Amino acid sequence: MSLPDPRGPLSRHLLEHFVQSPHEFSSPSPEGDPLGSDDFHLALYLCYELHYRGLTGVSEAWEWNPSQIAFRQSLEVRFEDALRSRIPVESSNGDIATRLRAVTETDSHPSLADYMRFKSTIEQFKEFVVHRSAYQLKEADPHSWVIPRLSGRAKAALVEIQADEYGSGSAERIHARLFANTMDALELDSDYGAYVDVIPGVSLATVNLMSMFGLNRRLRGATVGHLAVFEMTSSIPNRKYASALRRLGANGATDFFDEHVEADAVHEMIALHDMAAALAEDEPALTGDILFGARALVDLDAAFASHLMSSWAAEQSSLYTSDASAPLSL
Amino acid sequence: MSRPSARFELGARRELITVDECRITPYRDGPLLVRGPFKLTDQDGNEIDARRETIALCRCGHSKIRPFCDGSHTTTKFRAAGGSEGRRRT
Repeated sequence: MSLPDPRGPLSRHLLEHFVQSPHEFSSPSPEGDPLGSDDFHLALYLCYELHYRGLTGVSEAWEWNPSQIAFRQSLEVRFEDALRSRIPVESSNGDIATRLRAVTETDSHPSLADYMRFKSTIEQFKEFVVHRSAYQLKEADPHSWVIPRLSGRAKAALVEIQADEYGSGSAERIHARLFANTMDALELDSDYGAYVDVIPGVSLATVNLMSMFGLNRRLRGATVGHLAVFEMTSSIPNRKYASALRRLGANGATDFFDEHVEADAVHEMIALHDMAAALAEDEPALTGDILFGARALVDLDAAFASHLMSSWAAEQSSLYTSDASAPLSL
Repeated sequence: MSRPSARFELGARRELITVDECRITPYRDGPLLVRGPFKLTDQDGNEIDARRETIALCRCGHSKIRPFCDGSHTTTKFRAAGGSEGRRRT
């Protein structure tokens, strides 16, 4: 992924060090809203990217550099604290499947999928795809970090889901590839990280959430809860997104969304019952974190949806620009 | 010598279960999951392309892509046991 422009003191600090050979550096204290700041979440996204596909022109040795890890942790602490202070601590009583279902039903944010289905313009749909590219071009990867941290039933279930995400042995069916095809059909740049410069913090935060959960073994319960709710709230919105594309005449771009209607109807059951409920039964101490991961997803997705809807209601682009007087066009 | 032999038999039986057996599971408040090997056909015997190894078949009746599940059971608040229900033996 090419290096983006800095957006503030945190990303500037990081980028200045990253272009040099790995060395020791001291970190500034993190500033900005840990749930949505553009600068904060770009900096964290760049730290995590070292563990995925890497950054162009940045030494791979930065991945485990102690100063980089210390900086990343200082951001993670603030991010996790902010989430935990918003999300009520759950007791560990009750049937986890019912409680996870309840988390999805308390999601009261305005329906982005309904807006897309009936009202969005093609430009707005393309913006939506650009936001989502921060995750979808590495779809499933953040949850795969948890595989060696699970055992038994939950592990088998998670791998059953991930195998399907990764195309069941067929590279052209890897879901990230299907998303790239959608971007190509919409005449967007499907290169990994091509749009990182225009993706705002509120969108990057939804991806950083998964990376933080996935890369910290102690948060394995949260990864499982996140994946369960992700799969449980996927089929119906994806049907609406596919319907939006057909309404807009972009029939060649629907495959990714059509695939997810069917695939996630399967994954939902496996994720909820075979993975999350099994993990809660096998490791009851993780129940609170399973629910935390679920609620954190709903919380940050609601902020993401609100950002898109309010930008569009004000007839503005929902993408990030450092120069508000220069409107973006894709 | 009996232990390695027993382990081999267990391994062989696992292979049988995962590769040769079709498993159909009703999930609570959701679809029937079918794990291969299976063949899905219409009533005239023409194959319906399942496109994946594990499929979810609609059980609530509201899917728009029947016989496959599309998640509609959630919006219709479909309720059913994750197993056999209401069945009489005779």
